[in-house]
Amino acid sequence: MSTPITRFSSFAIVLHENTLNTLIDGFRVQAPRIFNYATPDIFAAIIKDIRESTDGVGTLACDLGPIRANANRRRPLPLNSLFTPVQYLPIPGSQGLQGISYIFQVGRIAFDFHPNTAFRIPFQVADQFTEQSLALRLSICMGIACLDKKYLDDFLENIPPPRLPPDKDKPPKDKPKDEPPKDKPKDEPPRDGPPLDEPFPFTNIDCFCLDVVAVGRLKRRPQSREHEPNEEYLCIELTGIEIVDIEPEGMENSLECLLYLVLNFGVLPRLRMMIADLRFGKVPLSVIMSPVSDDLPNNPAVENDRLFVFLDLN
Amino acid sequence: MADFTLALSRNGIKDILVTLADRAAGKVNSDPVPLGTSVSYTVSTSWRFEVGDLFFAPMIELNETDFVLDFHFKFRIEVPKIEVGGQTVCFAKPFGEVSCVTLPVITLYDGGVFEFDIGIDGFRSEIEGAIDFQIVHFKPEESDQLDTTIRFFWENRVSNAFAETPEVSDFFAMAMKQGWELRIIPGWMDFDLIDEPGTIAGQFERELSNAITTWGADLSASDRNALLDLSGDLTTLIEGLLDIHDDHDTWILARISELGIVREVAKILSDRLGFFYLVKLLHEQKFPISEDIPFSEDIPPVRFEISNAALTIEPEELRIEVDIKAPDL
Repeated sequence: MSTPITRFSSFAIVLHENTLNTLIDGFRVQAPRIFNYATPDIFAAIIKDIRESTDGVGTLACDLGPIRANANRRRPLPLNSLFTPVQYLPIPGSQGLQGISYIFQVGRIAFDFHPNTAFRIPFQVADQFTEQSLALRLSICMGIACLDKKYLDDFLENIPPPRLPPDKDKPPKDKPKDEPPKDKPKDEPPRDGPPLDEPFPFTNIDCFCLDVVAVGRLKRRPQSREHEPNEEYLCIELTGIEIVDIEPEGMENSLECLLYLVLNFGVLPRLRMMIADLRFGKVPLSVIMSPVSDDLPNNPAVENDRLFVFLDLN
Repeated sequence: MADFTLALSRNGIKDILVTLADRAAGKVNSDPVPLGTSVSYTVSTSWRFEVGDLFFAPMIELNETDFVLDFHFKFRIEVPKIEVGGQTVCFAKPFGEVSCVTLPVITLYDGGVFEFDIGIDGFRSEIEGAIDFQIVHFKPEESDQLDTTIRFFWENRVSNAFAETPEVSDFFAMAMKQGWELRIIPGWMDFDLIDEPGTIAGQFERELSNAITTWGADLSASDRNALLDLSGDLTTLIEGLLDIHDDHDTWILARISELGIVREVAKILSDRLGFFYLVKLLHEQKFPISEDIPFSEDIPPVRFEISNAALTIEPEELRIEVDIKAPDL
């Protein structure tokens, strides 16, 4: 007979880290479009690359893992379902229609609930992985498809020339004032270059991959100074982040700091939820998270490689 | 411990039962019912469940759970004004004259309305029982009961309307699929009528007599007696409301045999039919990729398999443990 999980609550849900990782991995393999994004030109080029390859995988994508996994399926998914098309990134300062073609892929995602068993936590953040902590390892790959140099002149010539000096731009005195100004200067030469609304041609994608390990905790915090048990909110807080093996060190540290600040003060606060709003089921049989106490100091609790959520009838 | 565990404490399940019992409680009020020309009554009936003790292991046992009926009668008696006198009495005088005198009117009772309440609380029946749960991995191709089941329910179905009810058709659709079924195994059931109908009727009669004596103190003895005579009829009325027949033994036996039928039906469904489940988790769980992308031949849903499911009942806790794995693609 084992010790009851629910000795200090009415109900409990327990999730092992392996289960969570199995579920995430299942989605990653079976629904690759959720994890892989590319602009339409890169997406089309990858499909062409796969079709022309002998192994059904090709070489163009930054992370070939999802393409290889799909090729190995008994019944592969259609190639057009491997990526989610995304808009081109704007070129800073450019007023043209072209944008930057890019690809963004999320590779392995794994959670590790304290203690550390699921993956190796880098020493830089290992001291943050204390009791009740959880860690997330994320592999991301991305790349930009740069304009092929041989087409540079064609596109540069297609940029509208600078406007004439202001005094030459004034309308002649004999013309009526209400005549609408013309869009283009009179002396603008005709253009035969590539159309402005098509992406830049490219021949390769400059890819890079990063492993990121984040350490954090689930925390209940009081909404007000008068600490009422039913006026708490649940939040996720990042206590450490490590981008593995990028150089120079100063850039790595700065990027980590940037992510640390953006996540802790920009992204994660948006995910905070009042405990009272975390109801499961329908009234009158809805359940709510049990209050913390000396007997139940953590709820949710992260221990023994599992996430425990203790619940009571509302 | 398994991949995913749902644990329910004994107290938590009792809380659920108490909540459901509270929801099941109710009350109805009748319209005024005339009893003759000057007496009427209304009756409100309320019922409630009082959940008793719950024990776990080896089975789930619920003891001393009471079903309680309360009746509240409100009587209204309109007593007319009672006067004597007022007649004219004539008599002959000695000298041949006739003299008439009108007697004074004496009001014996001013008349009025009496209202009084009688509460018959706690018509109590006790229900006890035990059930066991079992998790079964049901595979249609391995079930020798499925054909019988289909024939039983589909070829001999009572009506198309019944079969086409969404709940029924969903139940059968799920029943045909491979999955992990939480089944109820009936244990034992007991039903005790703590308060016999005769006791209740006697209590009612006493309450009514007391009320008439107390509230009708100003009435004449003859009026009180008339009201008391009514109480016999009202006792019959109570019996009717309770659906209690003259032969109490027959009534009790009928209730018990109805319970027996329920138990027998549950046993047949559990033993002979391949799919009598309380909750079913399909072996293969499907998730849409997104709400915008419906399932299709080209874009199938994301699938996971429940590779194992188990149920453990311990004295203080019931646990359902499930193992999940990604399918072989």
